[in-house]
Amino acid sequence: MTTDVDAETNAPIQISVAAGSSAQAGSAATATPAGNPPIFRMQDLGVWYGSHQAVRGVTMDVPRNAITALIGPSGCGKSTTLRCLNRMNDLVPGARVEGTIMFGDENLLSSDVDPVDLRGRIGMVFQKPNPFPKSIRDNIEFGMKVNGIKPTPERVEQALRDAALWDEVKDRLKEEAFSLSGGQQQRLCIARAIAVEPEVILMDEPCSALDPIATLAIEELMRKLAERFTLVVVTHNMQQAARVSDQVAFMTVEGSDEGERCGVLAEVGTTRQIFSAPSDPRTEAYITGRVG
Amino acid sequence: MTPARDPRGRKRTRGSLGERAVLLALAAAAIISILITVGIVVVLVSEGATFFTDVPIGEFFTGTEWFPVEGKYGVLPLLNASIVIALIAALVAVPLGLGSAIYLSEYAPERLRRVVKPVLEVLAGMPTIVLGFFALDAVTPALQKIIPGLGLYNALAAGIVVGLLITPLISSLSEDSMRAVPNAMREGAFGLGATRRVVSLRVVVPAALSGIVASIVLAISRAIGETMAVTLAAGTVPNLSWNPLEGMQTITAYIVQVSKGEATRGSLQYESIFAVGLLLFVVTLAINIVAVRIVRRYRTVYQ
Amino acid sequence: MSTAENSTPTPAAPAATVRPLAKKRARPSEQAFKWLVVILTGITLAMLAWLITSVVLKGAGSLSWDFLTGKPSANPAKAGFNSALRGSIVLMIITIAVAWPIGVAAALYLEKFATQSAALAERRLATKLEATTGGAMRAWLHTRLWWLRVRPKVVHLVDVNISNLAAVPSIIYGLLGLAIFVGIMGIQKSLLAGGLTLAVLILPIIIIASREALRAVPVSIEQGAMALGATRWQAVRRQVFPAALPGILTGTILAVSRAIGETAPLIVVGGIVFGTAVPSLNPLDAGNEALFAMPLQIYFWTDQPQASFQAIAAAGIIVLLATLLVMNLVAIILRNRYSKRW
Repeated sequence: MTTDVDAETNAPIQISVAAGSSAQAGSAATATPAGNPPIFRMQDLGVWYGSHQAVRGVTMDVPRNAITALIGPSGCGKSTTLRCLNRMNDLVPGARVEGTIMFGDENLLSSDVDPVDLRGRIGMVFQKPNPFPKSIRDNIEFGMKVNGIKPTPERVEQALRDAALWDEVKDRLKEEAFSLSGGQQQRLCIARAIAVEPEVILMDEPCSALDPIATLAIEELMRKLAERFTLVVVTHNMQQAARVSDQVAFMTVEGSDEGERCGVLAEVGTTRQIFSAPSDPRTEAYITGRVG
Repeated sequence: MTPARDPRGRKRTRGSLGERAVLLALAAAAIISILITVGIVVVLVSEGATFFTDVPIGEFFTGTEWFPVEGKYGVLPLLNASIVIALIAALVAVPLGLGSAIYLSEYAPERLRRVVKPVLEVLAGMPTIVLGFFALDAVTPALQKIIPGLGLYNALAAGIVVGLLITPLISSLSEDSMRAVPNAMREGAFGLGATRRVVSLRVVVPAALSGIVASIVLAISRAIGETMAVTLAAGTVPNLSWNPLEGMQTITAYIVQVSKGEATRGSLQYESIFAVGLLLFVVTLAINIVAVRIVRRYRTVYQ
Repeated sequence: MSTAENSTPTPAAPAATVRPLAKKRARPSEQAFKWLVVILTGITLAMLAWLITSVVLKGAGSLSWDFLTGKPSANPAKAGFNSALRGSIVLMIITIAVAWPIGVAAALYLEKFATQSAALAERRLATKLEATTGGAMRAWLHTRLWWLRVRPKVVHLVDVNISNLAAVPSIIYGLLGLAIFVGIMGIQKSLLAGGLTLAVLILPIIIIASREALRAVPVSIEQGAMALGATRWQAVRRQVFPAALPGILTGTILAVSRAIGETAPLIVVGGIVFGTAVPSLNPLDAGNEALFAMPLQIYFWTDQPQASFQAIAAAGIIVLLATLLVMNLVAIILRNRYSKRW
């Protein structure tokens, strides 16, 4: 995969979005992981919190071993949509999800699917680093034990290496996770998710609480992880979406029939296409900075 | 201060002197709380000191017989009884209190929680005389059906009702500290495929541990200082025993027993209640200080 | 949707192959744990229910108008609760009259004046000191300067002290009352001595509750008043205090309801007097020599061996609990009615 090239060529596109040539975008599309077979297929996904509909009519595919970014203005339901993929919304009292999400050949929203087991296979990294108030090692081992993986020192080391954290923490595995810096904590949370050997990692604005240098480290890590995992990343940072993702889904807010605001999917496409030739005027307005 | 720099150069006359007097009065009121502590310490120490001129401290702390009529003032039976009953109470209250706290914080729907929590707190506000009556009138008879030959006065019934009294203390404080654990931490664990039980026991409880331990320590201190339930339920016979089925007299019950009668001021018996009171004060104060230390030292500050 | 134009695979493309999803399965340890905590909560609630029903079943039969208005008597069939009720009312009046003003004043000072910045006042005093030559005046100014400097330490001490006092066993307050009010001040073992003891007992609770109520009033209210030229005291008295009053009263009622149920300190201060006197409702009445109170009467009856006394003890408990219930309801209504969201 041409991850490095992607990251580099996307950067200039950011500056001259309007000037991006659509021919170029089209040819690049077939060469990106965005063309991989889909691991998730969302069909008419809708989410209700009580009587309020937060998201409606989301239909899109998420390609395997690629990074799909969910972007859009705040309140458009990006995180809500993301949380459907590992059924985190089950934990919210009064939340209701409709539609289907095919994971392989099965609807993961089906009531006979075990959500606890599902979450072991679809990991999640949150907006703010949320390590447990335990040692670094215990943080990694927690998920392993929960999922019946024997927490050997080798596996702990591998997870930390995969999260590019090993060199910084190898001598202090017994220290409290809170003693790490914000960026390190977030990489620990990624390591914690990797250690479970999931198939997909969901990331909910993983860099929003971090400084630019820590952000860069996480972004590099994300590109590396995409070789082994499928990543779905919510971000409000368009540069970030342009730098790291293969596919972009742009969500926006629409007034529903009752006048309530509800998140919808405006457009989904390869990163290059969305940033160079968006087909939806709302996408264009958003990425050129006229909205949001 | 703003009024002192009145733009019109008017001198601040309104109530300046009066205000100072008011402030002085307010400050005096605040100082009264210190006077209370000083009063307690002075009273207990001075009366206790008179007691200890007649009864050697060594004998007081090592004597195994408390029999004032014969001049035997060994405090161990009283202290032992207070500890035994507090331990039984803790044995009852820790599972009940922690179970309720986990249920209310991690499992109960919000609506149910809002009903159950105040109901539990009713127990905390229950006058201890009522719990004493309950022990004597209901708990002991019920226990006597299970344990034949159990006397009317026994440490077990006293411990159970004192446990009931301190359960809401544990559940309320523990639940508060469990709810203070940020939701992000629960989500992190759920996101790794943890079940609710694992999230509760392996993430929330450890994260709230300082508050939980402090609540238990405070509850035990409360149990040691509890008076009426143990006076009524455990009886008034000093008894150096670890057997919860026997009757025994606690420090507090002894104070009540002497106060009920007409111990003349200045008599050794009169002074003895201050001596044991001093012991009780020191023990509960020490336990409370430990609780505060635990919270300070192990508190995790979440953003 | 825009799926037609974008280059993600068409719906016909084969889905990636993944392991089949696990079906929902029973997790016995999960269920067991949930049941465990439900049952533990249930046991606690059931014990409370048992307590209340056993008291009500035992005592309801003895409740009557005669019981409420009757004098104490050695005959359980005739014994009444009137002296105890009156005693508790008098105790309540004395307790509130003593503890409330002191508690609220202490709370006002600690919350609103003690923490105020001393830097400006200190500078002003220092300037004044330089300009003053009179010996007495200088001494006074020196004292005030000294106070400004030690004030933060004293306030901290008071803080720690109050929270410790709230955890002191109530029987210790009885010993304090016995030694000070009865012993040194020579007040008889009377309602007055009991009321003063209870006042000392709930003072820390009133201070803590009042401070919380004062803290809940936003600083902007006070600052607004001061910006209009009011002194701090005027701002506190006219704006902050009225706003905090419902909260203070709620805390006071809850503290007094604690005092009403206290038994041990009263026994220590006044002993258990068996008498047939009926105390006057005038708290300063010198005739109120014997200490009567609901919990004392209940204790006296419970301690009697005859079963018939147990029934009237239960009836007394019903009256006591009803009183507490009413007080708590008033506190809750007060809180809900006047609580403002700032």
